[in-house]
Amino acid sequence: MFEKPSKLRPALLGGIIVGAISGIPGLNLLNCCCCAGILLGGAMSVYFYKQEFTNEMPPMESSDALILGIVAGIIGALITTVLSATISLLLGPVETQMMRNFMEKLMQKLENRGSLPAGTMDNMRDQFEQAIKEGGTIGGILRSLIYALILYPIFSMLGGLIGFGIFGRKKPTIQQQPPVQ
Amino acid sequence: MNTSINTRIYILITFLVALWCAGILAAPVLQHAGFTGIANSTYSFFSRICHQNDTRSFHVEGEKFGVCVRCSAIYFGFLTGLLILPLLGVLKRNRVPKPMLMIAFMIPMLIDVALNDTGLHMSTTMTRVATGILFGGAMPWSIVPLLIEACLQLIHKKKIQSLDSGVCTYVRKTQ
Repeated sequence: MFEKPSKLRPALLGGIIVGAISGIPGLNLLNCCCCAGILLGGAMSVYFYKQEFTNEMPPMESSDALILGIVAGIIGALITTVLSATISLLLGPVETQMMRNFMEKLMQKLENRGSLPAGTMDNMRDQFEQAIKEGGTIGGILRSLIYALILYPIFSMLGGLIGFGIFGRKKPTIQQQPPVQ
Repeated sequence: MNTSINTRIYILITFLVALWCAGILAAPVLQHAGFTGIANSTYSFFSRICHQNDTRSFHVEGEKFGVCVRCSAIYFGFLTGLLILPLLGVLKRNRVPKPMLMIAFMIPMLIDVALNDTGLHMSTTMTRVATGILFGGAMPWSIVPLLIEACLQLIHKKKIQSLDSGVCTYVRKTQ
């Protein structure tokens, strides 16, 4: 009897997606849209897991997707925290100022276009300053890690279940064997 | 499916979602009551998943909710959808609805966001609430049966494992 493939590799890949999207400044704005980045990571881990199945193996179950999503979320939380802390430590005063200028220009552009309400600029500026201030302290990093360890597995699990609904129920493609001569 | 276990899992999920929604409401209430420390922690927790823009948030006694209008609509819509599920008989059915249904209900919200971000049409509180509730309310229909199914599978696997270990111990003792 064939066993199911290992969940470690797909969960790790899903976690890297979650971590990269949530940890890289600018890209993490995607999470403002229903935690889309975290949901995507969970769904992708299920997709990668599904790719490892062959016809001889037992079918993938929703419990597999649940576990994959949770593990991908935990890995993603760890990667995000490390990535955010590293970026804020590496960002010196010059780079911080450059980033601040870039953010302000972007926000100003959006505000002028009318898609941002008044006051958003100040709000975003405060959040950016707070993120830089918090990112540098051990307490801030630990708090971020705890919050991420609660939030990411939940949303990644939901992403995993959505991914299972989309990819998981399909039967694996039958590979045509070459005719034996 | 075992109905009693189904119900228990459903109640647990509902409790956790209600707790989440209570957290969203707790932030402004605590802030207003003067518990600024806990309120700030609650705001900080939800800031990981929402922009918390003051002009795009509901307010209680002048203090904004833990998340913005759209997110509030999604989460409270999810709770409402979850509470309606047993009335629709979704929990008793063995069939799990396809997630494409959820994606279809997400489209109005995506259109609202896209039109707003491109500057073609300003989204209002009404459009944010309507599209958010539509999406949030439809989500449990696809997600919760899958979640219950997954939990049942894990419970059964654990039971089989403990049964196997029990048999192994019995065999070892009798040998």
